[in-house]
Amino acid sequence: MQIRPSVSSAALFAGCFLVSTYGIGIAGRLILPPPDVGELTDKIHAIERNDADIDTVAIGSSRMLHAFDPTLFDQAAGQLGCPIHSYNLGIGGMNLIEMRYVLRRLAADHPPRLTRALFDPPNDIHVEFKNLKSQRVWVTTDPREAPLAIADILSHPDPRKYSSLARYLVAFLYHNSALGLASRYLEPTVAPTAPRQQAADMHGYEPLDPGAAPTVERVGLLHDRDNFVRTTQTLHDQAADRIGPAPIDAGQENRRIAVIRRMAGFIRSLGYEPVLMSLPDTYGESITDARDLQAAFDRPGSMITVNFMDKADAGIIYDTASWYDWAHLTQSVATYVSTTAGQRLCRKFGADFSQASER
Amino acid sequence: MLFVEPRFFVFFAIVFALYWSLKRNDLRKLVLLVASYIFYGAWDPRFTLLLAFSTLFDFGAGLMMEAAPTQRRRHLIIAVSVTVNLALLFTFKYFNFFADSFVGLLHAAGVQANPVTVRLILPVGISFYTFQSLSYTLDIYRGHMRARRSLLDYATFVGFFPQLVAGPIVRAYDFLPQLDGLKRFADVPVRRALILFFFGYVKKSCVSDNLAPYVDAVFSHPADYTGASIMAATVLYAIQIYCDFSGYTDMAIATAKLLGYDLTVNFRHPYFSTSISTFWRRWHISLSSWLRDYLYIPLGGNRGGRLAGYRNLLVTMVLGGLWHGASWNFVIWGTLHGGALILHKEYARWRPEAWGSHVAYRTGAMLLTFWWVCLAWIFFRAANLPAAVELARSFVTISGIGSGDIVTWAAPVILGLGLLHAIEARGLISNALMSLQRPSFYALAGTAAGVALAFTPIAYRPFIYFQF
Repeated sequence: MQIRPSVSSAALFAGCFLVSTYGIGIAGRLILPPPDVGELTDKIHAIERNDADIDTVAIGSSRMLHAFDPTLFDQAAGQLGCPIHSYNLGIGGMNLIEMRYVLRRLAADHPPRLTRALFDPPNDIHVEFKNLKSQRVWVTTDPREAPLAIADILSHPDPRKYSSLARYLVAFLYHNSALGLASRYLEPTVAPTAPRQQAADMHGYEPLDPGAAPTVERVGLLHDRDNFVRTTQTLHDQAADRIGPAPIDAGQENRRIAVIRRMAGFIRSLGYEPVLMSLPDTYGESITDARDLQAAFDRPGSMITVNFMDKADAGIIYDTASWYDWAHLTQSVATYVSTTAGQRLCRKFGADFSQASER
Repeated sequence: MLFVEPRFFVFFAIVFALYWSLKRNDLRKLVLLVASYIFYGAWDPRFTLLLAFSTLFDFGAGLMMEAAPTQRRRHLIIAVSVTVNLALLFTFKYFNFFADSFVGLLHAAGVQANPVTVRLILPVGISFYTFQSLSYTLDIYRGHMRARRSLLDYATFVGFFPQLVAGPIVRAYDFLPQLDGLKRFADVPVRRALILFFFGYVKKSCVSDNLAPYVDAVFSHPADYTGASIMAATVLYAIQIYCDFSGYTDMAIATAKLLGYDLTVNFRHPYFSTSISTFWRRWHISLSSWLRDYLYIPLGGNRGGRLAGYRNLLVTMVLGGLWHGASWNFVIWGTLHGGALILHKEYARWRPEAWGSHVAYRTGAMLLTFWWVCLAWIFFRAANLPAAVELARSFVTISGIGSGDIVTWAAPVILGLGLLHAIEARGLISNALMSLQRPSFYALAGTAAGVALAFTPIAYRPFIYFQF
């Protein structure tokens, strides 16, 4: 059968276009140095300016951003004989791949005293199409990180993970085409934005005050208050072992543990000690997930772990008034979390902490 | 919807496939009309009502004018047509400018008055299709053409999406005959159209959009830069606006060609002009010829003597400046060009004819013309009049108060782009591409499209001329 010249020409054009655009796109991303993504690196620049002697960073999503107060953490640990100088690297919506990008960028700056990284188990990678063109999604779709990104997506519950996977693939195809590759490097350099004074004073921590003007998420909670009260009551009962926690599929949880293990290994490969800090959340399986991760890692020779979704904290954490919105704690409970984290880490691993800080 | 956006490629692929799959011309025109309204409505669906009104009004005016039993009735109809079209333009584009200016005048005279402003969104491309529609009724009035009987034909002419929002401004007598008769795809110069579209894309996305942030930086903070950098930024802006507008035009012409239609040429390498008069025969040709035919000549042209001719020229250029937007910056831009045209006409009266053949003279004339065009661009680009004056002072004296430097990288970029432009001005690149074997051409085109994508900024910038 003879193919019409117009069809063969169109096929030739399309084939060469695809080879060209993805060849350039993927090769460029593998070879060229990653451009600075200000939204993710502003805090690193702030550390360079103001906190060059930090030895501990806490990295994670908005849960970490709003729950970890470095000043209180340092004070609590210091009072127990563990001198620590920490910084909150939490950024709203940060996923696993972004965490790795930030830590890699931080390590490239060689902070002289940095020895450990506290991390909150990351949320799933779920690209919102309205953010498709953003630099953060560009970071998330790094071809070198694709296997881990897919593993992370598949370690989260059905059926959302299929939607997340489809979204990730669309974003991957978008950002690994050549589109904008060279233009990123041609753009004028934008000076890093100076952090607000308050943020600078708080070492990256951003408290949530229920007395201030409410965010959209806070309004959501206030409108759905009855449901929220029921949820926190159930979670409280689960954490206090009055009822069994929500089950998680064993295969899924094994995948989740494997992803967290890879994250811990990555942090070690950068020369830092990983510390898993499971901060509270209100989704159904959060307690089970945190306990499974604790069981998997919290033993000698593995990884230091702190879990705030257990019996000891249930009364405070799952009090309805402790929550600013469905995923974030108020400032007063963040105070509890930060202080308690400093005390627990120092008590459990004080010797390691002291030695590490002296390195 | 921009020609460089993925959604336009999807949109055009559907229109293209549907259009050529149909075997009846009226159905094809219907496809074009619907596609044009979808294209225009992508900005704001309300704009389509204005387009429809403008179309229906002038279509009706054309028919009524032709049927008018007396010359007096024809006068009346054309007067109403011109008034309504200009009133639309005035309302959406100039009302606030004139209201503000009038209040400013009253304040200057010591009279207190509150400005009456109206919050209106400027419909994209209104200046283009209003002029296009207006020329139709004017040409019927002058007896240059017959009124079109088919509303479908006329609506397709006014709304034809490749040139709807930023021209070229097409004359009805050029376009309407093209709607007659079924076109054959075999007659479409596909390769020529693809080359033109690709060049347009490269000019717009790869050159203009990458230069824009640097130009913006200097024009928004001129005090931070050296005089040479301000001069370089002005030249970069000249390149940016040329690549933006001519890039759009190339893509518009190519898109129309792929549908079997020919649009008028709008640019002929204007920055290689050796006089300001030549520049205006090579820059935005469809607008300058429109202004000549429907404004300058009706004003009297040069029929009333030299001085009257100069007056008409200045009026035409000032109004041409004002066509771009309601701002004193555009008035000054038009005045600078009008003044330069008058000076050149005076100079041309005593300049020895032989000078024009000397290479050194032609080079000097080209540089001087470009310098003047760049100076005028400052008023076109600057955010406001005081900023424009300050930038113009820095440009003319090559002095600035800042230390920011862009010359070190801008100079080789400008020279490189100039060289590339000079090569293509002789058709060397496109001719070489046209001479390739079919498989080589399409393989190269696909590869080149991938490379061009790498130089396309992620954030699309609207075409500069869309705001006019």
